[in-house]
Amino acid sequence: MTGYRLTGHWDRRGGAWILALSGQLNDLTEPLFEQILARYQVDGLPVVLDASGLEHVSSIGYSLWLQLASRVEAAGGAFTVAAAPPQVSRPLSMVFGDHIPQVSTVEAALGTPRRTA
Amino acid sequence: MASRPARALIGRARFTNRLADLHAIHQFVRGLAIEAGFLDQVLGDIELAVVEACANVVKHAYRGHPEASMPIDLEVWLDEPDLCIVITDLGQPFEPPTGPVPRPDPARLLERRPRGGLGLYFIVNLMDEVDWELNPGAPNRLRLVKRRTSC
Repeated sequence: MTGYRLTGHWDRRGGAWILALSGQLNDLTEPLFEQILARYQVDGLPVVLDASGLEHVSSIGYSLWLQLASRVEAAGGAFTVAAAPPQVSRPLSMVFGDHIPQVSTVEAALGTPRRTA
Repeated sequence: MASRPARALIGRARFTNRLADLHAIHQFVRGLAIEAGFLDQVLGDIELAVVEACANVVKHAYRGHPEASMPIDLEVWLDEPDLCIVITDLGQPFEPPTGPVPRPDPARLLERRPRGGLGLYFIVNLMDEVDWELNPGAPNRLRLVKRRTSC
């Protein structure tokens, strides 16, 4: 038992793949992230990582995102991180601000208006 | 009414070089930082810096040592108005940076170091003070300070 948890769910929506992650991504949950990635096959579609459920991401997590972005972009797609909480958004901006774009909502990443209640 | 001492030890604990101990270290520091009034983004900065520093101790300073065989000691001080975390280990001394730690180059990370390589950058840039105390034959000490003014 690591004490940490990580869950991930792929969903195809609006001509893109949405990867919703929840929990913590670090050295101990890296194998779980690799399992989640194994369910995805690069197909040239954009990938939006919905980070709203992430509580903590360590350096290895950001490195893995950089690798994923590289794979997606090599196939002609775009990789965007959406809805990251401040404790994830700030470190990501610090290291990969010029390489991994961030937007405030998944809808914004998909270019669709946000639904209101 | 008794006044609070300007500098107070608010927590001390021993962990080991077991990678899974990172979770306990994380929760230990998080709990004390919240108790001391460090919240939100600043709390996230403290958590990430401590987890990165301790992961470096486990993976680098204690490289070659069996898991759970070596100590990692943490002390958390409330040095009003700042929070100070001291991490002590008995591993291979780390050669501290002599100047600013450059922003990692993504192209280089992808080519040469596909995993990791960001920890030191986070530690130095997320905390307000970072000091290494490294003396041959003595424990390694890393002192991390977060100022309340950055809250």
